[in-house]
Amino acid sequence: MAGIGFELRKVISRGGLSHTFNAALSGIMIVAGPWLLTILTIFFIRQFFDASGIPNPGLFQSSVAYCYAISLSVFSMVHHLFTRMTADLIWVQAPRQASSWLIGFLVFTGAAAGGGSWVALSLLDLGGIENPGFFKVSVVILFTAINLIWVAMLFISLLKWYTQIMLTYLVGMGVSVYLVFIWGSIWGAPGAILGFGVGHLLIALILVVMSLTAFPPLAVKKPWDILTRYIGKFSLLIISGFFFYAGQWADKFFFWFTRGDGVEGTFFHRYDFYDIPVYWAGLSLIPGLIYFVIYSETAFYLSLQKFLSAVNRGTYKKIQCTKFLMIRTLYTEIRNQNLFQGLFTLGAGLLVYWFVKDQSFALVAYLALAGAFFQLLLMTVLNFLYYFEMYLEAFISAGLFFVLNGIIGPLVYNLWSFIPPGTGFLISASSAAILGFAFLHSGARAMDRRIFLRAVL
Amino acid sequence: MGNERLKVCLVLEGSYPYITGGVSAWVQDMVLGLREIDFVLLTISPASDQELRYKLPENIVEHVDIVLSQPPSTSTAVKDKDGMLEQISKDHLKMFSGDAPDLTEMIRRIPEGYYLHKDSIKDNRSWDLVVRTNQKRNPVYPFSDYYWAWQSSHDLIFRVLAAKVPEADIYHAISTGFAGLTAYGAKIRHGKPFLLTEHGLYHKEREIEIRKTSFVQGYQRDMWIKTYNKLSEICYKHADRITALFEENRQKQLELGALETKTVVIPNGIDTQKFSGVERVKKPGFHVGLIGRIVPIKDIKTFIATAKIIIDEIPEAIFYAVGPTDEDPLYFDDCAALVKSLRIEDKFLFTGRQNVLEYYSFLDVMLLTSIREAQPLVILEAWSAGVPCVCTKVGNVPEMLDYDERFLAASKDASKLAEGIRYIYNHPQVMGEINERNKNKVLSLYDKKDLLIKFRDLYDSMKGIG
Repeated sequence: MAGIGFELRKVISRGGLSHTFNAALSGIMIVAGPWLLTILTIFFIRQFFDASGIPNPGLFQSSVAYCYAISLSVFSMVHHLFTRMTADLIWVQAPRQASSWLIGFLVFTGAAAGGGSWVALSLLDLGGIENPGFFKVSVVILFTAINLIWVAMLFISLLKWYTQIMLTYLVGMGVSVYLVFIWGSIWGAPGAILGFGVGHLLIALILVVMSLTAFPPLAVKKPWDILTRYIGKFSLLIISGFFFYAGQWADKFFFWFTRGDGVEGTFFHRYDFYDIPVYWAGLSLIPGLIYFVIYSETAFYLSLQKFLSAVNRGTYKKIQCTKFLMIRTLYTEIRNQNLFQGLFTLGAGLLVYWFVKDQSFALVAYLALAGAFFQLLLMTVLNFLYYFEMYLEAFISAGLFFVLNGIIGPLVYNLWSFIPPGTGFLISASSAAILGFAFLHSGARAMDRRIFLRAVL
Repeated sequence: MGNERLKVCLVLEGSYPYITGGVSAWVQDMVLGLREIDFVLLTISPASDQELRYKLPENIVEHVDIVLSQPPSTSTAVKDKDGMLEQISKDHLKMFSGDAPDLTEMIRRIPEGYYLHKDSIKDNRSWDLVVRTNQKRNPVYPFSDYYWAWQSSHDLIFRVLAAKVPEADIYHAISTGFAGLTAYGAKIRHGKPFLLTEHGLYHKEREIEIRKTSFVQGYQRDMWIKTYNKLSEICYKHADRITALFEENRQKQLELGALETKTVVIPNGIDTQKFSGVERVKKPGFHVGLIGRIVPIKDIKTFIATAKIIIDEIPEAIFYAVGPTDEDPLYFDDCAALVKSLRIEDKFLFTGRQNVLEYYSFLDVMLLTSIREAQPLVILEAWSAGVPCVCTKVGNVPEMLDYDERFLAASKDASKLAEGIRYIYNHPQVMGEINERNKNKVLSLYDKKDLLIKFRDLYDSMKGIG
C-alpha cells in the first residue's frame, strides 16, 4: 500500500483544497472502497427486504456477517502467506510467477472454503430453514466467493489498480442487488443469499481475469519446495495474521452465542446491542486508515529506505543518524496518526453522547469506539513490525490480543456478566498495541545490529 | 611404558599431503626418516576430498582433516557461556590495544567440538566490540565492509578452535596462522608441548597475497594483515620451541615476540647421497632447467623471458620446465602461449612431473625464478649433483649463494638472470671450482641426516613439557 500512499502524497503536495479533497476521496476509495460498497449494498438490500415483506431478513444479514467473519478469521493465514510470496515476486519483477501462485491459492482457497463450509453446514441443524438444501448451496457459494475475492484483491492491490477495483465492485454489487431482488422474491432469504453470492462470484471472476490477462501465468519450478520454505520461514508472520483477525472476531462470536438472539429457525445468533456499535466503530476508523496509507506508511518507508541504504554502504555514524531519523519518523507518525484518528473517535463519541439516549448502549458504543481506536494502533504497529521483519514480536503481540479477547475475555464475561461488551476488546487491543509498540521501540533502536545478525545467522 | 612410541601430531595448513612443494617434500622426508616415531596428520584444508599427492608412510597412524569451508556442528555444550564470552571480549580489547594477550584462559573455556561463531555473534558484547574497534580504526569506511571482514576472519578462527584434535605427545605446527593456532589450542586443552617450525614467514606471505588481490581493499585489507600478524605473534609467544630455516627468519621471529631461548635454526636437509651420487653426463647443447611446479609463485614467465634472451644468443641452448603443470592449468596455458608467441617452442620444453635425478645428470644450469621462497631444496639438490644455480634474491637464497651477485638477480629481472647463465656458459673452469665448493657445502651443512637428528633430539627434549 506504500505505493499508492506516495501517489496520494504527490496530489496533496500540489496544494489547495481541491487536491487535498481529491486525495482524501481517493484514499477513502482505496482503503475502504470495497468495504463501503459492501456495507451500502447490504443496507440497500435490507431496505428491500423490509419493503418487500420477504420472510427472515435476519437470515440473509446473519449469513453475510458470519461469512465475512469466518473467512477473515480462518483464512487470514492464507492471506498473509500469499501477500508475502506475491510481494517478494513483484519486488524481483516476476509478476507472471506471482500470477501462477494466484491460481494456486485461488484453487486451494476455493476448495477449502467450499469444502469446509459444506461440511460445516452438513453438521449443523438446518431444519428450521425453509429449503435447507438450497440455503446450504447459497451459503457455500457466498462463502467461497468472499474468500476468492480476498485472495484476488491481495494480488490486484499490489498492482495498484484501484480504479479497476472500484469499477468491478460497482458492477458486482449492482448484479448482487439485482439478483437479490429477483431471486429473493422467488425463493426468499436463501434466494437472496444466492443472488448476493453470485454477484460476489462475478467480482472474483472479473478480478481474476484482469490479473491473469495482465500477467499470464508462468510455470513455477518445484512449487512445493517453495511453499514449504515460505511456510517454514514465515510461520510466525502467518500465525500472527490469524491471531489478529481471529482475535478481532472472537468476542463477537462469544456474545452472539451467549447473549445474542437466535435468527429464527437457524443456528445463527445476533447481538445487536454489541453488533451495531462495533459496526459504526469500524466505520469510524476510515480516516485513520487513510492517514496510515498516505502519511504514516509512506514517511516511514522513506526513512527505512535511507536507513537500509546506510546499513549497506554507510559509515557507522551514518547508520546511527539514519536510524534515529527513522525512529523519530516512526514515533512522529504514530503520534500524529493517533491524534488524527483520536479526533474522529472523539467526534463519533460526541455523536453517541448527543444522539444515543440509552446509557448502557452508549457505554458499549464508547467502549467499541475506544477499542477500534486501539485496534487501528495495533494494526499500525503490526505493519511496522512486519516491515522490520520482527515476526516473533508481531506474533507475540497479536497472540496477546487473541488470548485476551478470545480466551480470557469470555471467561471473565462469564464470571462477571455485569462487565459491558467491548471492555474485553478495549483491554485486549490496547494491551496488544502497547506491547507491540514496546517491541517496536526496542527493536528499532537495535535494528542495525539485528540486520547484521540476521544476515550472518 | 618405556617402549611406547612417541606420537607427534603434525599440524599443516595448505601443504602436505595435498600440495606438492618444498614444505611437503620436507614433511615427507621427516616422516620417512623418523620411522621410530608415530605421526598424526592434522591438516587444515579449504575443501574436502582433496587428492592426496603423496603416498602416506606407514608411520602416519591417523589423519584428521579440518575443512574450513564447512562450518562444524557443535557437539559439545559450554558450562559457563557468559564467562567465556566475557573473556573473549576482554582478550580482544587487549589485542586491539597492541598486546598479544595470553589466550590460555579463553581457549580453555572453549571446549573442543564447540563452534563458537553463532553464540559470539548473538552476544551484545561482540557487537559492541566490533563497533568500538570500527570507530577507533575505521570510522570513514563503510561499516558493512569492516563487519564482514571481522566476521570472516573470526569465523575461520572459530572453526579451527572447534576442531577436535587427535591425542599426541607433541603438537608440531609447520607454520603459524591457523596451523599454529590449532597447535596452541591443543597445547592448552591437552597439556602437551607446542613446537613451531617455519619455512617461510606465514604472515608475510599472507600479506603479499592480500596486497595483490583486488577484492580485499581498504581497511579490510589492513584488518586481515593485522589478524595474520597477531596469529603469528601469539604463536611465537606461546610455542615451547620454534625453529627457523635460516638466521634471518629467526631474527624476524624474535622481532615479533619469540624468546631467544626458545628459537633455533635448523636448516633444510636433503639426501646428499642420493643427489651426489648422480652420474653427470655431458649432453650436446647447453641445458638450463627449472625444477618446480608451473605456478605463479615460481614465476615461470620470467624463466621463459630469460630463455628467450639466452636462446637468441646461444643457439645450442635448451630450456626445461621440469614440474607438474596441473596445479594451475590457466597459468600453464598462459605460459605455453608465451612460449609460442616468442617462437621458442623447439627450445623450451614443459616436461611435466619427472624424475629430477635424470635432469640433474645433464643440466648445465639450474635456474630459480621464484618470487617467494624460504630455503629452496632444489638449490641443495642441484649443488649436490654438481649443477650450478642462478636464482632470484628471495628468502634465504642470497645467503645460500654467499651473496654472489654473479648468480643472483632481483625478482623478474630476466636480463640479470640471463647474465648469470651467460657467465656459467663462458667460464667453465671457474664454475668447476664453484660447483665443488657448493657440493661440499651441502654435504657439510644440509645433509638430511643432520636434520633428522636435530628434530629427533628436539622431540626428545620436549617430551614431558606441558
